[in-house]
Amino acid sequence: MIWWRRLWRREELDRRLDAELRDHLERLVAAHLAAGTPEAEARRQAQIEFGGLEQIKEISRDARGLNVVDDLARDARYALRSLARNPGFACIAILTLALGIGANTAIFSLVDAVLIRPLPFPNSDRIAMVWEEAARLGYPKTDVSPANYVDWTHQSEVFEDLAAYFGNAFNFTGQSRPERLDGVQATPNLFSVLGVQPFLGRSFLPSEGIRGNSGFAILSHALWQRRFGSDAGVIGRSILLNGQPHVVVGVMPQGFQFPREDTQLWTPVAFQTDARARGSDVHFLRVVGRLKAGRSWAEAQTEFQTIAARLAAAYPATNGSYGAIVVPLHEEFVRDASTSLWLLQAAALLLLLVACGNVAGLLITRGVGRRQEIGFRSALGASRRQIVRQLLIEGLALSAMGGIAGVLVAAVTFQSLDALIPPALRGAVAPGLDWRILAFALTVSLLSGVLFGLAPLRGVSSLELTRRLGGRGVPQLRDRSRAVASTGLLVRTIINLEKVDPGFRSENVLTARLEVSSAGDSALEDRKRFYREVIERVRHGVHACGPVSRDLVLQSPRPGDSGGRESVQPRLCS
Amino acid sequence: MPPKSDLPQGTLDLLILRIVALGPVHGYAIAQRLQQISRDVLQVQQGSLYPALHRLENRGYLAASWRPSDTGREAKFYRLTPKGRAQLKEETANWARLTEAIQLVLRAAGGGVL
Repeated sequence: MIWWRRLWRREELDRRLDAELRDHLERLVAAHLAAGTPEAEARRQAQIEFGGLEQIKEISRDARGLNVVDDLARDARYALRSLARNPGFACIAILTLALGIGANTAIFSLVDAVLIRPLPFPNSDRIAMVWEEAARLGYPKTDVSPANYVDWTHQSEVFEDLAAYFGNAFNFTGQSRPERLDGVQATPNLFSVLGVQPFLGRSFLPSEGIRGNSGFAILSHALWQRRFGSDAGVIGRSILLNGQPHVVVGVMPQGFQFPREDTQLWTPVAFQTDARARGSDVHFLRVVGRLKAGRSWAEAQTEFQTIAARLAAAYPATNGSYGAIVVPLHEEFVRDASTSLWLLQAAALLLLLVACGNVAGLLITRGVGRRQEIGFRSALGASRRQIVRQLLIEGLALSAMGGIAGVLVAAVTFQSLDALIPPALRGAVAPGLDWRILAFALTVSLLSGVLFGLAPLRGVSSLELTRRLGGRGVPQLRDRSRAVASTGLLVRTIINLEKVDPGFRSENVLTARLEVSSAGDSALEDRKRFYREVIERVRHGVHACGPVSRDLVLQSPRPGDSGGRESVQPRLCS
Repeated sequence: MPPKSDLPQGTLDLLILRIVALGPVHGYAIAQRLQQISRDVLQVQQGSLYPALHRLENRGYLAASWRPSDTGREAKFYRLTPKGRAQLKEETANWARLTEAIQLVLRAAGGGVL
């Protein structure tokens, strides 16, 4: 980086240049003295022969490129003065750019947070979900049955460990306020597979979860704060979940969530193979595994296809149509969002192009009025390079201010971007301003600045040309209309992607889930009575607010759940 | 005094490189030698000489160092770099081609139809 060093040692180099020139002058004087001229006269003659010292120094400095910084500073000041003289134009240009750059920055921060950055688990690129595949039955990806899970853990050697889990809802009672919590029942090794340990207490022991020894729980950080007042003494305390006592053994660290943001607690569960159980097996498990170091996804996929084929051969009745697929966790979490997000980014970029086009048009129009000024500068000795540099700096000044305004615009929109984050990542991932996003904004601003900074020059020369040819010089409207149309189409596509018609009118419909745990064998009649009372109260309460509700629908929970829950016939109560 | 001739910039660079190729030398000496060797025809102004020297140094054709000189003071001596040597060779060849071409045209215009 020689030029860098040169700027740094500028003072010294300047002194040396001065010394070099003075030395030459002294030699000239000496030559005259040697010829016999008196001192004063010799010096005068030498001075005349030598020419203007400062002038020579200036030109030499220029030749060395030492003036670059000075020139840039001067151009920048000039650019700002020029913009200040036309505040209306400057405002419009900066606003247009702010919107374009702001939109891009906001969306890029989203793309970065969701798609580019790794998941918030250590070595998350080694974690994958393993699904069963039954394409022939119409399920390309489906939950796993416990028997298959157990067989997989025995037969797989490509994975360090495999954990299984399924979602469950827990009635948290015994404290002041009963609450329905979304949680997960998982094999005790879940947290070691994910690579995150509770920050308080411990993870589950391998023996926990076996039938009869599953009364344990690990809390999420949010739950611990909300319902237990961040009390470290919660470890060892027993809480009532679905009427059963569970000992709290650990609390997960803040920011950890799996599989979803609203998962509040984890309880252990264990599975064993049982030839009889296989026959009545239900597929309801999710399986997650950590790949051994040095293994690839292709190897994992091949191994699981082999395992599945082996199981299909061994148990044709249950496993005949089932295969297995391995999906890396990152892909799993973002699969649906990926398309929309990239489309959104593309739309934003197009929008920016349109904005740049508009600003370029404005600059060109202004450029026409500046032909005189440019002519003057040419006459005064400005080289074409200097004029181009001046225009470029003006463009960059505009785009820099547009960029700063754009970043501010983006900062304001982060709240509303939350809705675009895929549910699995919501809460764990927050688009925000960090140096990568700012670097992106800077790059985009610079490129825009260069793009339309040079426009006036082109505009001026092409206007000249078309004038001579007798035509009309018009900036390329056709290209810009195309860009606007493309942006519009892209945005429409994204909106349609998000809006899927559910087939019913969903306005003004509220849903609620409740569950009466079947702890003990409370009579069926008791439970029916409870439900009826709830319905009555809700109906009265709702009607009390006015004619807002017409119908109540009662629906039983999904079939196949474990535990003795009665099914309630769906009924329309009006 | 014979009339001074104005040197185009590219030519000045070539001449400077040739002089420096004869041995490390400072700016004053380059001007002197140019004048001497060309028998007073080529007298370069400091306003052209030093910008040219610095430009050539910028481009890496010349390297400079401060050494004690005959006057006792330190002076900035320039010497040719390998890159400069190559440039000198190329520019000399170009110059020879150019002058030969010009000569051909001048001689040809002497006779003929026009």
